[in-house]
Amino acid sequence: MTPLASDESSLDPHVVEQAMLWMVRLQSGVSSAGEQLACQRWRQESPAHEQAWQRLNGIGQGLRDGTRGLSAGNVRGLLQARALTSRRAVLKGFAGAGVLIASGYGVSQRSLMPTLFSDYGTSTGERRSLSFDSGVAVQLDTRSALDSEFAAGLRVLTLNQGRMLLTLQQGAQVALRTADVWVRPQPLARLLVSQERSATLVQLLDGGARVEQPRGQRFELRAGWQQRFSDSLAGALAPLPAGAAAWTQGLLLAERLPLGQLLTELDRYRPGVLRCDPRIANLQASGSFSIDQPEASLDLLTQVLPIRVQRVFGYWASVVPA
Amino acid sequence: MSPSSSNDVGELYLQHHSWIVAMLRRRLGNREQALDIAQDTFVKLLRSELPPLLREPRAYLCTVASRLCLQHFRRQALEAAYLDSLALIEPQHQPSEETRLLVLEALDAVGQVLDGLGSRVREIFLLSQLDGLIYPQIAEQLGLTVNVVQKAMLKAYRHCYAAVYQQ
Repeated sequence: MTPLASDESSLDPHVVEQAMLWMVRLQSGVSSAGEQLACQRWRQESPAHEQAWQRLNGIGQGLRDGTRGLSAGNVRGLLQARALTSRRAVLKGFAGAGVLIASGYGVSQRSLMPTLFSDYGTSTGERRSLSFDSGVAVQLDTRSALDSEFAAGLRVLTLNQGRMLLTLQQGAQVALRTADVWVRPQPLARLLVSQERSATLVQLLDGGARVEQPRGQRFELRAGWQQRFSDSLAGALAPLPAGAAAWTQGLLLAERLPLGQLLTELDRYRPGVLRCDPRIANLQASGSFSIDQPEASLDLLTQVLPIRVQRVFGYWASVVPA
Repeated sequence: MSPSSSNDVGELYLQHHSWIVAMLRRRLGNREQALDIAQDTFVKLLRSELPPLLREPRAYLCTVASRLCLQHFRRQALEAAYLDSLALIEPQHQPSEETRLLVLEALDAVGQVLDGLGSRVREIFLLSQLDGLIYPQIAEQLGLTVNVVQKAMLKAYRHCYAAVYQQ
């Protein structure tokens, strides 16, 4: 939407205002033939009229030209996302938000948007199955990114972001790297690995796996157990929660889960922004919810809890007390 | 509008540059970014007209810098949303790096022109200009009267015209 060519002279504001009234009348889609003719006549009355008209036309044209190749809905969503960064958030929440954003800024592009720069990526709400040579299969969860290479006779996977299910058949070998640790599953193992903000969660569904930290500490994990690792620390060994692998079937299982947590989980599968009013964040929810249809899951929640969902342009949803 | 004399800005730079960098760094938590935005702040001052008597130069610098920070964050939010949307596209249809940059520039420029419009007015304007909907369709889609749509369109045109032609 740049000014048209070299024409930057100022026009009589009164003429511009008139042009706007005409423009709005004609664009409404309900103008009469008589009005269209009258507008034509007005434009021909003076060069200034025509110029004002062309400038207004140029604004819409610039908008369409600049965004060619993107769908209108997409453009609206993107502009909405851009505008959601409010002045108040910048000025007030500066310290917090700023640090959060700044920590991603200046770091490599790779970590800023791993799903784009990785070999395999999933977008919001997408799950993707991959199979590699010699009996190694992967299911990538929503918003996840994976690199794959063949090095020194071994399939080496790198989980850059998100969560994956890794399944090894008899005789299969693979090494999985995360930002924190190396994971070496045994043949016939089935495990979930999640890259969290500053740790890696390893959950063993079947078989066993060894986890190795950069300084050489090793941990053995067995089926039915999970453990969280940073690059130097290890969390407590804990039994695998029921429903840990439900996402691989498109489900989210909740058993008296605080609503805030449930929505955080659901948010990962839903495009846009989902917010939970703090007043209801501690309500408990139980049930099985579809992650493939997050909107339906939200609606289901409104039927069992005293809450309602406010949606703005579909992108932005707030869950508030009913 | 005559651009400010580079001498005045030079004075401001000498007296307040390290202060503004420190202030931005405190707020952004990142030195590189603070230096960048401080730099942009002074470049912006060079290109615009300084008030003849600057009683509170630091408050003024702070306002300009905050506005630039906001623009910067908006650009980042836009980039993140755009990259997110690209993840939906098959690898063989991904736009080139150059195309991406052009699209982002264009969207950011459009966004800047629309900045300051309420989200409803913006939505109405985009539904008309991008989707090509006529006013009764927009009214129906958003649950408004045609009259409200028409007023919003006028408001949007006034705003965009001022943003493009009266800066």
